[in-house]
Amino acid sequence: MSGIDSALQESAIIANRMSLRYRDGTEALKSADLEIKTGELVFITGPSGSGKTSLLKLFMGMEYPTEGTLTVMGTRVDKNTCSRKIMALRREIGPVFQDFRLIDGSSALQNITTGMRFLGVRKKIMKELALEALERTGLADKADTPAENLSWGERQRVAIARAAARDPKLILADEPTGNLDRHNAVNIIELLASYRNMNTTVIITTHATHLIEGFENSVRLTLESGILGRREGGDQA
Amino acid sequence: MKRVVSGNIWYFFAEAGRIVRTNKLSYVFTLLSMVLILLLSGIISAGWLASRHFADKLAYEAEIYVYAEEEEYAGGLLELVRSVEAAEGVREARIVGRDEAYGRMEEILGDDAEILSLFDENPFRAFIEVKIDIGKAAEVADAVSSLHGVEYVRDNRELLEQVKNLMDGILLAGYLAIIAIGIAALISVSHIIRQGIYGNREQLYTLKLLGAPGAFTGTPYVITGFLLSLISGGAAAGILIFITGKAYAYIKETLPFIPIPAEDLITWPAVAFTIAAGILLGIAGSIFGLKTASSGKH
Repeated sequence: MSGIDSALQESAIIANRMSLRYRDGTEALKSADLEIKTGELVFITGPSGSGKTSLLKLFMGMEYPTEGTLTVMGTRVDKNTCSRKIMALRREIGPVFQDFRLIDGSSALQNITTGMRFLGVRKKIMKELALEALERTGLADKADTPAENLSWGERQRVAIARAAARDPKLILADEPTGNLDRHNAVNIIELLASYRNMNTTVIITTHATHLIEGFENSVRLTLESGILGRREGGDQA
Repeated sequence: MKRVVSGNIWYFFAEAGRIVRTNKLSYVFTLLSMVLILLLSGIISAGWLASRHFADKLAYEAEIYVYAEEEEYAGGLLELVRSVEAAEGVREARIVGRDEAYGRMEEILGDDAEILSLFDENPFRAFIEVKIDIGKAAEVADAVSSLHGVEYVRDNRELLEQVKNLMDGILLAGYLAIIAIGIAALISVSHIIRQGIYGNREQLYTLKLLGAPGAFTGTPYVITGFLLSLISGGAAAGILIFITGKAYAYIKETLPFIPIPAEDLITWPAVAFTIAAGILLGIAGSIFGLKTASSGKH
């Protein structure tokens, strides 16, 4: 393994002077330098429209930097990266979408297993992992409930269970506290933070800075009008 | 990739069922139109087979007549038959004697054959009847004409040309009809697959975001197209068997003099064609629908 490769393994995400400008001219991200180490818990805060979702889209290969470079878990993300590599990268990620993106007509359990079917996990183990994930999110009794019959909070927990059951190297949660009251919001962030370990990096975006005050050993980044701010708050990892 | 497909076969079938359930009415209409399209293609292929059979029979009967110079009658006619048989495009050659020629004319004239009694002696000459490959009629006639001892050749070239044109026309019409129907079926299946993809676009996008390979997201749609075409092909084949049975019974009863081929020679090839065409077009239509529905964006 070369020196560069081992450095990339230590860093989950490296961005150098990364910018993102949409086709309509909107500048979502301006010359951002960033390094997130494997196993870190990272909060990205900023008001609505500051570029948080755009940043996560870049990490997932849904958008490409229009300037600068981005490497996510060893995969260079740019317009020349082939679709196969982007798909392989996504299989290493557990995304929790702002709108959950659950499959209506499928049960909570099916929603989780569907996200694992192309990961090479054996069927029996797949079901065990999915049930474990549901239990950890407090939804063991809702395994067979169709997604459309779950409450907002339950749907969110299923989305988190789907992300976690994939045993990802990177969990990306986009505004997971969206419409929740303070108590439930803190619970969700605690749940997401609990997946952080030596191998799993957790990145959470939120506009509610007051919800993350109690989390130690976390990295905090700010985003304001596409400008990524320096690390602040929490104990630096 | 193989493991992704083989390890999820039951999931794909369940997904195909769910895709159909979410858009039931469209699939019912597509199934009906596919049955009609395939039935039409089956009827055309059956008609085409029957026409080909008829044209082949006509072509098989294609013949020219060779008249030898007077001195050949001394005993060289058999030698001439062997020379004619050696020409390329000749299937069979035989001598038609004077008496046989007279008899044939009697048969042709029917009630008017009395006119032949006006002759004191048989006015017909012996000749060589040559069955030929219709595609080489002109070449055979030219080659035989140039043989030593041949006085002239009656080749009915115009008639043979017309039979050949009829055969070529039937072949072309069959190909054109099958191509037109194939395109119609392809568009029909690919359209319904596209519609299914459009109806499930959010789910497909979610799976893409989770890193699902194209084979995983696309297989349920290919299975849907395959099942759709298999069912419609089977239904069309069933109706085709019924229709050809009835048609044969009707023709045998009302037009017994028409030389139609055996029912099995037409029905089963047409049924096999209908089912095979259905399945091929279903799979091709699904893949075409998938390809045209996929956007370039990851």
